[in-house]
Amino acid sequence: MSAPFLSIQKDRSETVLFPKGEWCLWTLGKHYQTLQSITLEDRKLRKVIIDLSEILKIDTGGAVLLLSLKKRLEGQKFSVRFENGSDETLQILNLVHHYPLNLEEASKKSSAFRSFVLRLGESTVNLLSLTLQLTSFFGEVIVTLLQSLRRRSSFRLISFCSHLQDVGVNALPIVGLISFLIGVVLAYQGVTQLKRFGTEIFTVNLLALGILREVGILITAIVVAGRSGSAFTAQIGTMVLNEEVDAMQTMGLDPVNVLVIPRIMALMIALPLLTFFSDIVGLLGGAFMTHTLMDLSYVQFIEQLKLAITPTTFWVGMVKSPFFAFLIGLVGCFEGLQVSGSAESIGQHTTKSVVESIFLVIVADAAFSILFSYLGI
Amino acid sequence: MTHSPSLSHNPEKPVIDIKNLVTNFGSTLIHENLNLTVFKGEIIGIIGGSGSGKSVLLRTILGLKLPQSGSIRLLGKDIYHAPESAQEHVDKSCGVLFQNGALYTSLTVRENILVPLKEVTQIYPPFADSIVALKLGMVGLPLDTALKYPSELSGGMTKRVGLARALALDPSILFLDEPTSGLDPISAEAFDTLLKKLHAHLGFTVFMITHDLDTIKSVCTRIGVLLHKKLFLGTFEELKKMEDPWIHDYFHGNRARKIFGKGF
Repeated sequence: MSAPFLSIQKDRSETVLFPKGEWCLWTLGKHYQTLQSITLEDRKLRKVIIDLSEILKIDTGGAVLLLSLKKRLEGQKFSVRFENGSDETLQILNLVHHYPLNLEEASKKSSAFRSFVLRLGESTVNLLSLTLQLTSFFGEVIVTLLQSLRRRSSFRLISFCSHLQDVGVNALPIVGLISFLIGVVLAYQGVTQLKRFGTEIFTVNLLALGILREVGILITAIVVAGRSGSAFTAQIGTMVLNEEVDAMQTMGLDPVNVLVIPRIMALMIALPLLTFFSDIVGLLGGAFMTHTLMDLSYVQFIEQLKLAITPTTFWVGMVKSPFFAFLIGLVGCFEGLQVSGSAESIGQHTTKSVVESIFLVIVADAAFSILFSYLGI
Repeated sequence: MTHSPSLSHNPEKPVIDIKNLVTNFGSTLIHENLNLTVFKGEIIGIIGGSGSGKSVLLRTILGLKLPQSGSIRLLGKDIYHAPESAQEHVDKSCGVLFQNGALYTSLTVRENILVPLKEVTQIYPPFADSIVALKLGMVGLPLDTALKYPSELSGGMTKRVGLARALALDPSILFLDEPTSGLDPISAEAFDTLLKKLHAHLGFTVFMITHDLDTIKSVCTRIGVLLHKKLFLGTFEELKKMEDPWIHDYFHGNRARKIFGKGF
């Protein structure tokens, strides 16, 4: 402590405390604990006077400390009073004196076990109601989709096109780059492993089946979920916060029709196209790598490709993409509409949207695998 | 001690001193050679039509928008040319209530009020709670507000919490941006009363942008009218007599007559 800010004098009949110097918020944080530890040992002197004459400056923070000191001493059966305060000091003490200085009365803490049970129950109920809401949103979207197919005029063509540009065309570079690199990596692994058996030509089969059936669509879906699903959530969430969605409803516009349908439709058109692009570029990456590692010419690559695959191989991957697109769009828009209250909520729901849509895409992919093996494809 | 913001200033020294301020957006001039001097303990109300540059003036004084030329002194320090330590000192002596409260949405009311405190000093939980309770009491909010999040508050409560946060450091200057806009007349009047009471006890200086005729009449000691890129400053009586058509309309319009009485 740099300067003494409180001195104690004992008289015959009373204890006098002299607070000194600045009693302001910024000087007192560090003095708080020292002040709390002050105890008056001499129990015979029941009278305590806090002499305010040496205070140079005081604000509400200092007043809070002085008053809580007074209250504490009074709790220990001392009689305490203030003396010799300047007008300014007394004014602030009077002001602060009027207000309750104890928050704990308002914020009663519940026990750890109780709050654990409460939280467990809360998150269980939340999970159930989330499932319910998502299902009902699914139904709403399907119904609106069918309606807009029947009444073409209610379909938002311009919005649809702008989203198509956004989620489709603008995603081409990143989808292309990632697919190419995945093709390269798969080919490299294939060649090094299959070389041991002298069958490195089958790397092409591996590439063709892997990329066309699974990797192409999965990579594209994951990139799109991270890129467009999150964007949907953030866009719609901001509109919710801005009361734009409420405004729409009062004008008789259905948010699902105006905001959700064009986005989901755009995604359902864009994702198959992106998947096709990803398949081609992935195979290109593979061809490039086999050419480099095995000296396989591009013509030989294509000849081997023809032997390896049938149109079914391609369609097995392709057929999944509109379903995945629907899932990503559904979750993205749903989470966007769930946003409430604060900017933080947008962030939380965007994260949830990406995690949930990738999770659902992979679950759906597993379901498709089971279905295809059951059908013997 | 030398670095601590002080509550008491030499009364002759102006708290806010603006000289020949020029601000612009691109080629559009907002203020042209604007002057303003505010002394300790005054409550200045700034009025002016939409787009007259009230908010820009406030933002410029707060250091959020760089002026083209001119000087702004707060508590005797030129905010755009002082060393960083002096600027920090000024920041800590200013409390600002933004128009929509500008509360941090991810923090509770309690944490919002403690944000400025945590910057200047180490605070211990019971002390912090006492300060929060005091500030909430001062702005007339129940204590259970402390644990709420801003999204759970009504408009009036948000403004009060904003004021509590602005008061957290016992500022020497309080800046208010339309404190009563969006409040019902009863809440607005309560806000006026509250401001007068706190002003009487804590003796801060207030710089306030407002459209509220009641506030201007009952709270402000002087009124500044932003007009023709300049500031016309005067007491209520002085401005009432001015010839300018905008000022005349302002003080003699139908709404004004209802509030200020039919006498003029």
